[in-house]
Amino acid sequence: MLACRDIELTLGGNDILRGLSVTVEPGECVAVIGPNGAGKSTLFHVLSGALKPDLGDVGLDDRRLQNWSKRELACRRAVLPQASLLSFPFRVIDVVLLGRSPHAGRTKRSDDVRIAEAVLLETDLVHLADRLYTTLSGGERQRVHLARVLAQIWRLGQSLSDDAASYLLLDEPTNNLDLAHQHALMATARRFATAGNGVLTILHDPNIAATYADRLYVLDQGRVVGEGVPETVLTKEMFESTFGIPVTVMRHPTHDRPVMVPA
Amino acid sequence: MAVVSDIVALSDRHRQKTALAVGALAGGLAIAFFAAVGHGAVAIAPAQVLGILAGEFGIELGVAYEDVQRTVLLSIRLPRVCLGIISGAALAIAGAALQGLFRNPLADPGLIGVSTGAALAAAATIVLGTPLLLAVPAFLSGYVLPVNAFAGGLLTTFIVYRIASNDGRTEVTTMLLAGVAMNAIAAAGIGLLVFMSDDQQLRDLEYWLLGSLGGVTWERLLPAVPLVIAPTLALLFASRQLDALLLGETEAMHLGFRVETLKRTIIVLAALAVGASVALTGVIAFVGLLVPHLVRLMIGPGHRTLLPASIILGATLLLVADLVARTIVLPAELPIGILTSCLGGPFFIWLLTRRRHMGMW
Repeated sequence: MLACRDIELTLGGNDILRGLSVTVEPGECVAVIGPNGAGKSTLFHVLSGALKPDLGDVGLDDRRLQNWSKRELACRRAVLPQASLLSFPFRVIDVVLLGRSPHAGRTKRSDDVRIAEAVLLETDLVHLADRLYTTLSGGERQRVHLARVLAQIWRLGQSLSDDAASYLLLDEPTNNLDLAHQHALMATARRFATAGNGVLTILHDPNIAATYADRLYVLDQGRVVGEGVPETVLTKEMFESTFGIPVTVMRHPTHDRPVMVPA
Repeated sequence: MAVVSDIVALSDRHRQKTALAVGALAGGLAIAFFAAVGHGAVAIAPAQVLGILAGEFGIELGVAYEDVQRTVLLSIRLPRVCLGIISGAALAIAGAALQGLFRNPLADPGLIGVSTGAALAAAATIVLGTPLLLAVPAFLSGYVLPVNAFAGGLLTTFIVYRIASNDGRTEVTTMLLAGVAMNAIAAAGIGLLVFMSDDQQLRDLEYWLLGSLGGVTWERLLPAVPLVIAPTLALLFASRQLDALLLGETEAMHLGFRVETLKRTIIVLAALAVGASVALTGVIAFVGLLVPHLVRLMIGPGHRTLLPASIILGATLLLVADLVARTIVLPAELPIGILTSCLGGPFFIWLLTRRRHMGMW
């Protein structure tokens, strides 16, 4: 389980996070939604270990993040940033193989290549494997990084027990993606969770969150103001009070999850 | 599954191409070596070079050579060529590592202040250092300039590093800017020392500020060899770390690397390698900037091959430049820095104009 409890964080004199708790269990896909400035990205950085909270604990499997060695943690938990700074002309296959670096010396190179293969298939990038990263579009680059972070925590074959579950953290992963690839990416995250791993993703589109997430957190002004399955969280009242927008919430005709349209 | 074998084959093909390119570079270095030791007032054929070297180890190859060839090779050409190899290698790998650290292909060893710091210290020693030279025993006087230059280079890098560090974290952008500022300050200091110097000091200064491999002896070279080689070889082990840093510091951390320790280590190693090599040769421009670029064009940006290939190409480039520098205006010698800059500059501009066509950077 990946969890943070009673997190408080002040940045530049502003209270960004005010005592919030979030958990991700193995096998579940959790989405965090909320208006701009609600503290989603800060929460994300706290959960990934990039930011230390002023108060509260972040832990993986009941062990605080700071008690993990960086490398052990990297083998269990991968983080997809909103955008990457990479500007050197690597081949796509080599960017994906960068994800295997925490396993260097522990897995065989041939296994690393097979894992790269598997994640390229999963992310529909096999045809770009030999392309230079610098010649790709923004959306293609984002998918290459998804493949890279998947490769970081991907396992070949063997089933996994709960205490070996991996965790995938995604920060607004659907930005820059076309409609088909937004859904393809979320389907990938969904499959990764169903295989027994935990996924936490920040999302802006509540309809995508409703379709793919098992559980949602709604953040507003550094607090959790709603938590639960999409049906209970995504209500007309929540949208109007948290996002300040009048909406109509309906049932999706085929999968029965809630769908929101502006009223 | 057909696709699987495709990716495996692709990965194998890349490795073969890379191995071929590195092999070609190594061949180039061998040719440059024989050209550099064989060319000059006393010509020595490659077979004779091998014969003389084997003879030193007690192996007779049966190649005829004259005593003067042996003396020239062992006491004059070989130390000079060794200096060229280690300083070319050090400058090139330090450039490659710093470009990776700063995620900026325009970074070069000069940017962390080590070269200009060393130059300032050397200039101060030449112009103001006579009392110091008189104070040390005669057999040590040859070491005063390189030791001061080395110390000056490290001190400047340390200052640049301190400016950019806060709370145990180092801002690489701040470091770049601090490096530029320190370089300007050091350049002003050097300008002042040039203004104060007399004619002989001015000639010494010029010689040093433009770089030269000339006049090196085993006695001067050997104490510095481990200082150049150790950090150069140590940097070779940072390839996975540098690859990860190209993704960004946060991503490198998420990949399991201890980023702050890593940055500190790379800066220290690069400063040691460049500082020790500049102390021996003076300032040789453009090698650290140019060589990693050429290698990236040939085999891509992955540091596992970029670092060793930069070592090979850096050594080759410096040997060739030195060969030209000491033969083009006989009987005089051109300072090698003039050559590396006036060939490197236009070539680099050509690269810049070509890069978009090649999908580079």
